[in-house]
Amino acid sequence: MLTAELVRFTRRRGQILPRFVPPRDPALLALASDMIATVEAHVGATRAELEEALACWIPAGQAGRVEQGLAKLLDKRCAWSTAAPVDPVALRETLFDLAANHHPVAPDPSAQGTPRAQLIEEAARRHGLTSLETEEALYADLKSAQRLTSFRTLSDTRLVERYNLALAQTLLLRAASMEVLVRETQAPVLRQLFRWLKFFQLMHRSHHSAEGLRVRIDGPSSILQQSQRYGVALGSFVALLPHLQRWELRAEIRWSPDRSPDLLRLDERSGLKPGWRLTGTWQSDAERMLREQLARTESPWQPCDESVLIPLQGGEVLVPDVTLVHRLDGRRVHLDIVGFWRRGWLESRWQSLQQAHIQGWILCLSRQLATERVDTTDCPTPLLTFASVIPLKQLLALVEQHALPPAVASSDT
Amino acid sequence: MSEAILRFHQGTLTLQVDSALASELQLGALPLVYDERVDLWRAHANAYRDVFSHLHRVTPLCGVRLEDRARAYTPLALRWRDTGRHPRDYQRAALDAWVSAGRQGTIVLPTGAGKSYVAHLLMENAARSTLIVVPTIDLMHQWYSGLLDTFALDEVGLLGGGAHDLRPVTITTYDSACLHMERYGDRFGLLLCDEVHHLPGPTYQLAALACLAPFRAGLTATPERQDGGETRLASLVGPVVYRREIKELAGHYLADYDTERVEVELDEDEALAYAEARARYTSFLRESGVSLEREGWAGFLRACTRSERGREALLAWRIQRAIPMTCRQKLAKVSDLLLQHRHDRTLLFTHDNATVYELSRRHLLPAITHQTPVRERKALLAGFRQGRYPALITSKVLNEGVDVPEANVAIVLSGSGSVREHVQRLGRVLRKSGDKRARLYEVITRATTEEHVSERRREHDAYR
Repeated sequence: MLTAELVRFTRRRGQILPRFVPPRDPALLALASDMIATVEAHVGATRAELEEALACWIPAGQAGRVEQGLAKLLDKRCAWSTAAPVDPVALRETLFDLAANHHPVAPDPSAQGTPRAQLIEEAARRHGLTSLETEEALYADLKSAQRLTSFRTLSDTRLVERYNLALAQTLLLRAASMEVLVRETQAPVLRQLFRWLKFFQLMHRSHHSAEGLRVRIDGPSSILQQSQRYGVALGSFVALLPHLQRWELRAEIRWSPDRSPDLLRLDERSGLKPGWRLTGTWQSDAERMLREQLARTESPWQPCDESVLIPLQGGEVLVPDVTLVHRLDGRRVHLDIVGFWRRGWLESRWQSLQQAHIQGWILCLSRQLATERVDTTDCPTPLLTFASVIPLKQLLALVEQHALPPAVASSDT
Repeated sequence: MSEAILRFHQGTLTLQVDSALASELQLGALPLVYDERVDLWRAHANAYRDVFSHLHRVTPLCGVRLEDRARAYTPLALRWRDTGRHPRDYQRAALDAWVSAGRQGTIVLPTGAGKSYVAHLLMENAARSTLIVVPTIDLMHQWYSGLLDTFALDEVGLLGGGAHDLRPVTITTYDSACLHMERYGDRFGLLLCDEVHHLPGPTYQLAALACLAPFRAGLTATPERQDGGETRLASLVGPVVYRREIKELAGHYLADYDTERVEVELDEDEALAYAEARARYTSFLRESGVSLEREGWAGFLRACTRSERGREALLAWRIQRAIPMTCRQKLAKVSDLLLQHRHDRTLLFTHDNATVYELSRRHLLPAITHQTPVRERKALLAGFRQGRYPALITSKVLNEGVDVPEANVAIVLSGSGSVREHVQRLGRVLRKSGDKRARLYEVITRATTEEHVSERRREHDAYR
């Protein structure tokens, strides 16, 4: 994220429009790659030296806010450390002890006391340094004197993309809540979305509308006090949205001095790129093989493309891995394909399903990936265990037994 | 039988109860809000005491079973080590006032009057797991050793500064408290905020809101805030229940002290450079029509970033500010005072870190800033206390709380106009140690803005 003074936006008729930079502008990309090259070339240099070198790319004041923003993003990828021939802390200890024994020290000839140069020489001798080296090493561990040890470099395009995302995230720091409209329902992405909500300890209310799934996002105390305390989490969360193909975000931003709200609107056309890689959206082998098997058979049970979202009490959301729909009569059943699992997880999943009275749900548990042996005989949910491939015949038998008519299966909406 | 269940959820308190019972239970009388997202009633965690006592009274009448799953704090029986220390009259009175106020409230005592000892008395009295919140890592370490010296405790937990160890008695910083209270706000029965004037800030107050501790205490020498936030203390930890000022305790409980203002002058070249920089800065203000009184410092900075002239003005402002802080006569005066007090224990205070390091290099004296590594900082403070180092230079990190009772001379070379900062700096040398007499010098460069700044910060009865 950027700092407040680096944010660029326009306010117009109650809207706040971030001034994104054109991600393919040749001049901007050239600047970005120059700045990246400058940082790369300064591995080993001090922070003060790097700042001076970067300064020639950065106009001061408001005119240079983009450049300052890029520098800020680059700085976050830098690692610093102290480089000195001796440990500055040990050197200071020597010098302060020497000086204490000869207190007071005369910093210049006009003052009374022990001449400073004499003490420096003595400390230098003890540490095997010259006087000049001693003076340099004395506070070599201060921030400005620290040296750049490594830089996680990135491409010019990526830096510019990061800048635009950071701009949106910074504006969201001053949002009390936001509303996201998700126009696609791809199970892995959706599941990741709700996992992230949980990770950021955000809360949500979602409902389906003609346009898609509307998710209002804020935090536990938002209903007690309109506050921007969840702004960081909201901003971080936004880095995930560009993974969706079609989405829209609305948030009230109170940036103006009078704290009047302006509407921030972003969608897939804003050109934002994800800030985080998506993890956990892979398809398990078991799921992939099940889909392949079904595709080869003549079975009327086929996976449906749209995945289903089942909100539970306490803000949790269940997203089945596969939803099978009967091609002829529209009956449905949800499959929960579980790889690694522990007893505790299983019990809490049973509890969630029971509490929400969820029917038409089949658990497929991997025997290979179970981390402990669990007796599943008294499991209240229909359950199928498998070694590496889900046995299709057994599965379809269970499906027939537990499938629900269309109206009931989608009771979540 | 229907039930009402209280839970702690991320810094809030939730109540699960059949909504048909809401009016019968008189939930409207409580700061609870219905949260449709989860079908629960919700309040800031600090409402726990009110909500619990209300429900405890009302639920039996309505035939509702009250289940408290929110509280995760534990009784705590503290045993004193044999330190031979006994409460002074005012320390006992502070404890009594706090207990009569329902074990909530703010206690105001001057620095050096033994606030930590009062805190120990409160902890013993509350007898519940306790979270102590302090502003700095230094203070965290100081409280840590203070608690281990006072009570027969096996462990004291630390949260912050790289440590993440929760115990029935835990010390944390305001920063860490804000980060972690949403997770651990249910674990403590007593919330004890040291230097509590920090708490009413927009961010730090979350630490108190997200904690359900029914017992609360704030300690400070100066509750007043420039933004008037002290009025919010009442709702966060409780109103001031006990107060004593420096003058009431000086001599008997605090060291006697003198304050002396030393004036130095700019040399001719410095005076010229000062006047020139000042002219550049004030003419910019005039031309751009920026009024510091009207638009404040932020307004000036905004104006400065808009043009090349503005940037020059900002630079000129920095120059005119820096010249009086490190002018030759002032630096020479430092040498004089260090010579004069070569057998004393002296603290030097400056406004900024650059000057701290300049003085440290010149006089080869230890310096402490927020950049000083933790271990070195501890070693330097210990060395100063033990007399290994005759003097210590710092800017703001020692303004608050850190004990250096042996220090008897303070030299303020530059600072802000803040009364609190100045009182706290004086407080650093006031802790009673034998029959010492403390001395505070304020070195001011004449005919510069320092004179005005000095006037402002001395507006406290300790200087009159």
